[in-house]
Amino acid sequence: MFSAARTRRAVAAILIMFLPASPALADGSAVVVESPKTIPAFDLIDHNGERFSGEQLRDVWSLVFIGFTSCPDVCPVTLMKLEAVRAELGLRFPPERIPQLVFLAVDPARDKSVLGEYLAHFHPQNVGVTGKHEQLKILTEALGGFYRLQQPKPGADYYDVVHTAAIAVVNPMGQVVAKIRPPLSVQPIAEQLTYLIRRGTDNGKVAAVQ
Amino acid sequence: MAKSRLCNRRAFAVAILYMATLNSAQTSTEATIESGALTVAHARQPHMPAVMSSLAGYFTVHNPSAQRVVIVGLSSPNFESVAMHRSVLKHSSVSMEPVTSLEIAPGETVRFAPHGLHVMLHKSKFAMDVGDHYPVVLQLDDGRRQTFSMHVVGHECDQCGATQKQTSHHHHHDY
Repeated sequence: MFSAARTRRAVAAILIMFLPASPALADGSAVVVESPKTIPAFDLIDHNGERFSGEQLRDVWSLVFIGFTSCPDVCPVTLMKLEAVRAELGLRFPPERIPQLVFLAVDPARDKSVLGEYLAHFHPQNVGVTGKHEQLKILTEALGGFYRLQQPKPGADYYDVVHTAAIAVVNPMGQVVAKIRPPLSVQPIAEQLTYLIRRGTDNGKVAAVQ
Repeated sequence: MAKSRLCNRRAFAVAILYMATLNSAQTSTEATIESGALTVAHARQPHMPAVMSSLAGYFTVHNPSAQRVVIVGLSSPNFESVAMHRSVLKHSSVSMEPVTSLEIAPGETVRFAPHGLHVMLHKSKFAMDVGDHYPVVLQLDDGRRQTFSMHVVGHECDQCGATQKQTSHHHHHDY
């Protein structure tokens, strides 16, 4: 009735019609920094109250996301997506090559006391970092980002924080090598990070992508 | 030959099953239209750590009536305040803008979704876990109130809030 070749072609045509878009064409792409610079010295604390400086960004890949714990929508959704990215990378790399997730909490007045519990909800290995604004600004600027605390509206006790939406990719030499811009799509980001990590560890230096 | 034909049939079956799964995934996230001023579907609040002072809730709201409907506020007995907000991505930075009222045209469907329009649930009065649900009241500009149930869902369950039936209330609401 149907030849094997015709059937295979029909099946292929059906599958192609319904396959997801190519990751390379999807939203949420990593933009590679052409001339990576080493992050200057900064002095912050992590969610356990331990010192967090440039040393903690060495010998490991890092995804650094600027946010605040009172952020109801973008920050938790981003953390959930980055966790999905890390899980995807876990299928491709040993644990030591999977990027650590660093949440740079830029609203220390509200963040400092809750940072550990907040991040543990998403993954116990997440690292929360906060500290004085002058030090936070050194790191945010080095990441190519910024933040600004808004004034609360009259009669309200909630205030918003405007912050960079992109996620900085920091290589094991403490250099910002790429930025992941929203909207975030897990699969394309995992593909791009896989490429960066594989290329980045060749010959001990980060190669340019594309 | 018979084996080859069997393989072909299996391949066809896999393709059809794949298509059916996709179609099922698409339709399962669609709002179900019901009678009443508004129809709310997929109302969900991702479970978050108790230390978070503000949470986000998402749903789809549809106006099946022939008149426009305007939402002018929200409330919930489980939170000190509830308000509509929109996350705005502009020049690579993100901020939140308050949405004081939301007009829904006849036949229109508005989606409250991550990284966009959402409700901010501020200061929870009770500890909540995955599987819990609580009432949220929509306040309309003509004084009517309409209640729907918000479901607390796990991280993996962003799209799985059940379709909600609402009860309509005129000028008052009791719990």
